Amino acid sequence: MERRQRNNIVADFFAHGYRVSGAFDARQRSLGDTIYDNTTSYLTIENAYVSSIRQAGEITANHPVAVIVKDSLTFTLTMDVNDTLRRDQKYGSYLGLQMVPIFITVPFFDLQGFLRLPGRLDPRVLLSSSTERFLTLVDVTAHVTFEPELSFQGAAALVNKSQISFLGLQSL
Amino acid sequence: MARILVIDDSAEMLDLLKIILQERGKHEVLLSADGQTGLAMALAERPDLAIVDVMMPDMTGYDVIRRLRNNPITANLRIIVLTARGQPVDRRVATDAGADVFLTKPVETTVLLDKINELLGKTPAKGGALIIGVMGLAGGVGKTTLAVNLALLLQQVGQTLLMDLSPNSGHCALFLGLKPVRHWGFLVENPGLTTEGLMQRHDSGLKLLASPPMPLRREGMDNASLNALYDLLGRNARFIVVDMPPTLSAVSQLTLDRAHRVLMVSSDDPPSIQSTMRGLQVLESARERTLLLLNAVRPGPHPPLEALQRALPAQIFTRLPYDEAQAIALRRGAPSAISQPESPIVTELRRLIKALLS
Repeated sequence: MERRQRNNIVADFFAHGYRVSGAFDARQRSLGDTIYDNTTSYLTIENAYVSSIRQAGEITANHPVAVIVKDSLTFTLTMDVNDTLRRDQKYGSYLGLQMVPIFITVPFFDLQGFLRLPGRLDPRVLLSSSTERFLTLVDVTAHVTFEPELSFQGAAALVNKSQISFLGLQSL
Repeated sequence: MARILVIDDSAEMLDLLKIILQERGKHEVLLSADGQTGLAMALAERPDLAIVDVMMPDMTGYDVIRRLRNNPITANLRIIVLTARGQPVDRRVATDAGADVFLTKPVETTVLLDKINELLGKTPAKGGALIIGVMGLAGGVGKTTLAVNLALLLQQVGQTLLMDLSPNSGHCALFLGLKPVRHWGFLVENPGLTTEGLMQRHDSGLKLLASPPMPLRREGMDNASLNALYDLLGRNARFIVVDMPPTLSAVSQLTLDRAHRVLMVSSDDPPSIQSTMRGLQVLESARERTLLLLNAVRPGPHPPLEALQRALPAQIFTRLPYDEAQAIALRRGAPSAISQPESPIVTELRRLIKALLS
């Protein structure tokens, strides 16, 4: 069975203490292509199911169509890494890709995962939001800050750089 | 073939599951695109199993499951949740709502079909034993003889445990030439005993949990103990053959729920056929897993199988031939499976085992 139907990517979107599960129609692109696209400030999802983080399993509302404002999005989580990577991130590098463990805090969550970097790690470039507003992590676990036993897992996450308050690395 | 209800708001998913369940699983499929209709179909059509999506407008899958569980008619329906919301918290909520199995989309076809078979009781859960209940509602039909021989033949395939659940001095130990010095009666008196200490081992390697040698003056094993026994013993055996009491007691009901296969033994005498017919009518939920065996317990002419089949609501697997030598062998504590491995009865039982394991 295929997850993708009409190029729909099912993902969890987290913002301001809410979890919204929905399908994003990516057409020929990935979710990463759309999120990183600086020419649009929002994305439209279909069949959105809303849960409060306090009861993250219970569905409190659903809407056939919903709009998510990219600036307000904390992070999004997918089960398939290919749904999340930008087109240029899907290819290798002459320098090889290194997997850098990373710890990030954002409102309501702390995230653990890996950066896929095609070169040297430079945190200043990493956190600069002038060129790219999001950060791609792979193999991610997101713990809810006020309920650490409650966690969300995904093959990849796109994290809004402007919402990151702390970034922890093992070395530079 | 089971009747499976699928509740999912995605038309593509309904089509896909219909093809998989019908073509690969050989099941009858009922489809519903929303929770409210799904609930009505569950009540009207009485499916054996439901596959429920979570993210559906108007009524979520969790609400559907809660309502199914709260209605006595559908409270025991087996339910699989199949959802794209695959986080640990979603699994917890689904289980709390009453789902038996939680699967995330996309799911492998074989995983889905295996889980369905597991839930329908056709295959044991991973690490568990295949439980075969041997039942006969009329006396003198050779139920214990069959259970003992079957267990001995299964022991040649893998570690087998024979459980004699008769509360009235069962005969499994006698037929195996063992003295029931240890039996499950000790467990009733001393719930703290280890189960392994209650077993007896036959020379063939077969383990026996014998019934108490004296009829019990009180209730036999309670359901909680029996459930725990099936779980515990299932870890150390590949097969559990249960010689069930000839009544629909709580112990029998639980065994019918737990058994992956049920063998209903009947002779071809009219009173026995009548008890079997009535029994099969009552045991509707287990009929899918039931094989019917006719045992010729006396010599001479027997009624034609076709006529008997017309009267019985389940397929007759075979009629075991009459064999006088079998009774003598049993009295010597050497069942046919050991003493007459080439006899027609043992040959038929080997064929039965093939069917049970297929």
